[in-house]
Amino acid sequence: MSDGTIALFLASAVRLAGPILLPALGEVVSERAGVFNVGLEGMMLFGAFGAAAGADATNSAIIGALIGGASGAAAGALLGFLVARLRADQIVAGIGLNLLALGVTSFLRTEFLGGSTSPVSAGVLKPLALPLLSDLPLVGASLFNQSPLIYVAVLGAFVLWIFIRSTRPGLVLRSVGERAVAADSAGVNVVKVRLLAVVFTGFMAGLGGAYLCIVQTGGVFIDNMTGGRGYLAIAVAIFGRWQPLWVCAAALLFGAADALQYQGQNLGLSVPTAILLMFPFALALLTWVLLGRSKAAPADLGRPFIRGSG
Amino acid sequence: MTDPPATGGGLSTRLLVDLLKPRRPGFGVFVVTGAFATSLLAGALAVSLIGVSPVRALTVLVEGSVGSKAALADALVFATPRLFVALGAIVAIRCGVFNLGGEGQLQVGAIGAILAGTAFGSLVTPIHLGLALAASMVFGGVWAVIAIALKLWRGANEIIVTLMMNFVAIYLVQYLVQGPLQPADSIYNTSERVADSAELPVLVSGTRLHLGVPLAFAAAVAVWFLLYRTPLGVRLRATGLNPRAARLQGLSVGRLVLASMAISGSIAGLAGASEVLGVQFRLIQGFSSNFGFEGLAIAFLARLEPFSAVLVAVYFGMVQKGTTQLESVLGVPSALAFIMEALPIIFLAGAQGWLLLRGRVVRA
Repeated sequence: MSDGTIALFLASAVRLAGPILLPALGEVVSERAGVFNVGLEGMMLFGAFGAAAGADATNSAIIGALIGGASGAAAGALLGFLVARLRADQIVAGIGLNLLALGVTSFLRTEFLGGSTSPVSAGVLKPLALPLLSDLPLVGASLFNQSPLIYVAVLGAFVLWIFIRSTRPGLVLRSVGERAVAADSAGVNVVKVRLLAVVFTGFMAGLGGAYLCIVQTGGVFIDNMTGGRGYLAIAVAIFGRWQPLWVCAAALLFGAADALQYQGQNLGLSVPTAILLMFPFALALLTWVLLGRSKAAPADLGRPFIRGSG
Repeated sequence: MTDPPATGGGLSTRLLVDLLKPRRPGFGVFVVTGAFATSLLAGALAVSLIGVSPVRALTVLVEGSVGSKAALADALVFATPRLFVALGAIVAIRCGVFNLGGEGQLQVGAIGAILAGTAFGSLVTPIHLGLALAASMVFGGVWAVIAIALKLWRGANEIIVTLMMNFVAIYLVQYLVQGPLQPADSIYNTSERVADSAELPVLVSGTRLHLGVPLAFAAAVAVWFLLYRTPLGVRLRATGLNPRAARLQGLSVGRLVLASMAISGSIAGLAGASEVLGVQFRLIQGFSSNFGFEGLAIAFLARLEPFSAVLVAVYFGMVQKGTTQLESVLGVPSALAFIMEALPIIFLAGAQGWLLLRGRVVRA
């Protein structure tokens, strides 16, 4: 296997880790606040559509990405209102959101982006070569000549790591996820914290969806284009033990698994495409078998907050 | 066998089962009318957004779904796989297991039905059809049992595991129709056609109404009977309401969870069988357009009651059929159906949570 093949595979792995890492980081934040967010898939889909429509309207891929993030955040606000304010069941509301996202984005795509699958005129977010680093042998071009959104994701992981670990708001976030009733009696506004957490999750998921659309497919929005990546990102958040840096590593692993479908042939694998497409999901199952349950899960994960229900 | 760990999913399930069985009788009426109104309002809003008169759209939708014998038959045929998945989901969720894997179980069930439906040349219809249906149940059941085994054995979160297994199953079907099950001389990514003797026969000539439709209705009766008229059903429901109390009563919770998933998966498997033996007659990649999640939506909207599920499923079938008509007559994208199905669930989830908050619903 040549150096070139390895570099190509690595580049592909990092590129495909992006749309898993961004939403997974978001999921870490809402799960740390006690919200098991199954709606991640739908938030990504809203983000992907928002990015396509935004890039089309403004002729700028960067503004498109931001509009994608904002669309995801809006979906997050809806879900956050339901689960944090109204105390809706998190799974039911999440499933509802996913179905809604599928309906709304496909409906609007047919109506406003046209029936065709032509790329939006603004095109794609171009890779950004980091000076010096991208000149490194072997890994330089693959790791440091990526879409700006990748750098945002990795930087985000570090920022989140510090935020959750060592800041006061991070402590508040964790307290809401571990024991909402106790946090409440300590004066924390549980509803507000959870709402903000889910909105943030939506923003990250939206960026992830935007990434799919304006980095990976070259500006084309396809119905249901997330294809389960949102669900995969939830698994990645859990495998990363709700720690941003571990989530980063797990996302890279799943990016590599995903990359096999494009790079498998170069690596000398003669496996049918369908099996390669299946691989990331099968890997997630295998990871469960190997890792087992984590005791690090936030104690109040999945539980609506009811004052006095200690 | 040990207790399933009460992680996020487990807890949420318990609450959900509680929430769906409130003591106030008025709640049911409120939810049903509210959800139905939300659905229609959402549809009206969406069509007026693209400049179509809601009244005109509603007329087309109703005529397109119940206006003729053939249309009504189609609506019922559309309802069928969704109802099977919903009934499967009901059995699992009533036992406290969040089976989000209906999609995967129906895909694998379809594989089973196709294998049995193409394997034998010509058999007597009842035997061949029976074999194919049984195969779909076994395949779907085993697929569900794998998921729950991972939970019981490795403490896996069943929500994640069933979701992942959905995609494994979807790509498994893709692999099969692009390779092993593809006839040698075919350029299409489909399996061989099932033998005539394994088809679900059409019941009313001139329509597509096949035997799967009454089978799905019969399955609803069977699920109701299982849940409310058998000792196993009482145990399943007790486990769903409070696993800890069930265990203290001497019930083997792990085994009950396993049983509920096996039943759940086999009913979902029938969804796949009804589609490939009654509608497509071949295994096709993407034959299920999201039946799995629509089935779940039906289960939630029916508040986990089998007979209500029949009504909701028929409504979903009408919406699906009516929106295809809307697309061809008025050019309204048929994705409208998903919007009309999703918003009622969002309404329901919000209403339930709000009532929980207001203390109107008594928690067990």
